[in-house]
Amino acid sequence: MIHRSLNIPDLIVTFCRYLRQHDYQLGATEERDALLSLADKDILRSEERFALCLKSQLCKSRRQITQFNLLYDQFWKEMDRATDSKIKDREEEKQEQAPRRPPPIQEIKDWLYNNESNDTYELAQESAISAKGTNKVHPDETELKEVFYLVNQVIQKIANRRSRRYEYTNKRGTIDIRKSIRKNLLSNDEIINLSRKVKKKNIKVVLLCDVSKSMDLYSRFFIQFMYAFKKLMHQSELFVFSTRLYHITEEISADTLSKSLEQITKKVDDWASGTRIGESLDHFVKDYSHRYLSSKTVIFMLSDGWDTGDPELISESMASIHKRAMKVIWLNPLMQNPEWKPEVLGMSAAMPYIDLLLPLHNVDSIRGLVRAKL
Amino acid sequence: MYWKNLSDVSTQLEAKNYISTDAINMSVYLSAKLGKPLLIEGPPGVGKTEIAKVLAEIYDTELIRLQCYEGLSVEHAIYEWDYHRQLLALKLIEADSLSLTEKEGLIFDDKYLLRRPLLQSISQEKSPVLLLDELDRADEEFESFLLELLSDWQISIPEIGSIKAKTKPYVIITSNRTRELSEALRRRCMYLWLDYPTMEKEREIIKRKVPEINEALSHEICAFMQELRQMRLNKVPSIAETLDWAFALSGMHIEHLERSMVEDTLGIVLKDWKDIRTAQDSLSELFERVGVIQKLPA
Repeated sequence: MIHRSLNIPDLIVTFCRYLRQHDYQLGATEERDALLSLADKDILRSEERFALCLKSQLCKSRRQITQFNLLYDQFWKEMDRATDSKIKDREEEKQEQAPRRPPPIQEIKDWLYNNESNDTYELAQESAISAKGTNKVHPDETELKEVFYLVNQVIQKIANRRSRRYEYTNKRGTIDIRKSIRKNLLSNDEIINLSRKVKKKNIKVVLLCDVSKSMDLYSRFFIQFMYAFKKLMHQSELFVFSTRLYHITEEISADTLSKSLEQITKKVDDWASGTRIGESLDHFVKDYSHRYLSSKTVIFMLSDGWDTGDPELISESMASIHKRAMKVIWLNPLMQNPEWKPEVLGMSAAMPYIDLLLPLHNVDSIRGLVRAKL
Repeated sequence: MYWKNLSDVSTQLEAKNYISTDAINMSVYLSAKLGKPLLIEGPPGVGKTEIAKVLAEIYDTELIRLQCYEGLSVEHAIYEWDYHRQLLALKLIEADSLSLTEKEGLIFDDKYLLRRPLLQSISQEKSPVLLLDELDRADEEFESFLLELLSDWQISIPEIGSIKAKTKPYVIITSNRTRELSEALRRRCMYLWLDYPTMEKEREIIKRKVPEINEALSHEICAFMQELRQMRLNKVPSIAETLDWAFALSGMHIEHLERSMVEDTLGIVLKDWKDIRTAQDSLSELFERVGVIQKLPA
């Protein structure tokens, strides 16, 4: 609750506190700077300038800049309300405590612990390439352990091996003595030109997992896969999508798998609904790519490519991702069937921009990843 | 501080033909007042680098520019020993009967020190404008190194000791957001987001930079560009493209946008073949929205 005060320092401190609740990372330095710049008579001349000054002092990203005006107005409204009686506030508190809809944990637990609903069973029957027999593994501790063990090997393969090796470079790095001596053999023991070497940088990973209806049979396994990935590789970012894209890195980082699931369920509204790969990827490119894509990022797409959206949008987004990432690896659960061909619309639209297409549908298939040339 | 007051900023920027907005004025004013670096983000070609150039002109000081790229190292950005000359010098004094410390002193001398932009910027008599262009392209390690420089204004060279800044430079950092800059760096800077210009601002810019242009044509060009930016393009055209187009069209003494002419010159505005095709496909629609009446083919 905000207490009203007319003193400017108090006001700024309250305002900063209010902004902090909305993900603005502000410390004492920012508060001090804001106050220092407000000491200018020229700025206090009009209300627009006052607001603009605070905006340029307290916003540190584009998102914050776009949000600022709204928050600024809201803050003043709350300040006005703070003058009213406390009874009103109490009433509001009561209203806030209204019963919330409990998250559908049971539904998620059902499929997690293999109580397949009829829907998914039917879907499997209907699906052109049925996943019969491959998904009946019991989700006990040993399975999770196995997933952890294998995912760790995958990670070793994509990340660590690279970072231990030295590579020749024109840029500045450690002096490569062996190469330098060879290069300068002609100059009579005098080392004039130096050779340098650097270590390859650590690799980051982004996982995008499809959790639409058509993927329902594998979602449980994929969640385990992602959970293990996050636990074993700190520098990985995770997203799930069906009709929309959700950033779930924070949610999946919980202590136990069931806790992670609980948090993901709270966040993802359209679990096992339709698929819009194009829109979701487009969202990823627009909002997250500048943060998570670089020439040191490996992208994993976990999807069967069944899509109801615009295939044009898929190829556009995939092209943009492919251009900016180090490698795009598509893991398709349907590929286990030797008859399978990338013919569905979504898959064929994405094909030109995939560096590596591999099957992944159960624990055993992770071994395939370990063997593959990642 | 250089500026007298806030309105002084806009007058002086405008005098140098830089059309600014209230947000730009405020950020420039406050960053000079608090001595904080100014971090400017935005799509390519909206005038981020231009701000640094104009400010250097206004402050009447040197502009030191460091273009960042992947793999930019401390040696390229700060200092480097002139290894070859040191080696030659060592050969020359080899026979002299100097002690090891004396020889070392001779070799690690100021004249063998190659000053790179960052070291240059803190050893000037008059505060220069230091432009760190496209910092998002540099590695994260370089960014964290910058933090140290930006807070202490000193650089330590193991052989000599630390060099303290004679004067603090005015630092301007630009980024195209190909990668998110770290929270720590953001916190040390003033943040400014530059977006594509509004219709009025763009017209004003054309008027300043291409004074010979016909008023009606400049209006049509701006309206066309505004509509073009609404389309789903791979590379959205920005002010630089608008100006090139205005130059080209006014150079050909054209008074109105015409379909055939636009089709022929679309390559000036759009730099991606797919974008050109998309624009060509919806050219009639674009014209309709811009409000340009097309002549019927004879």
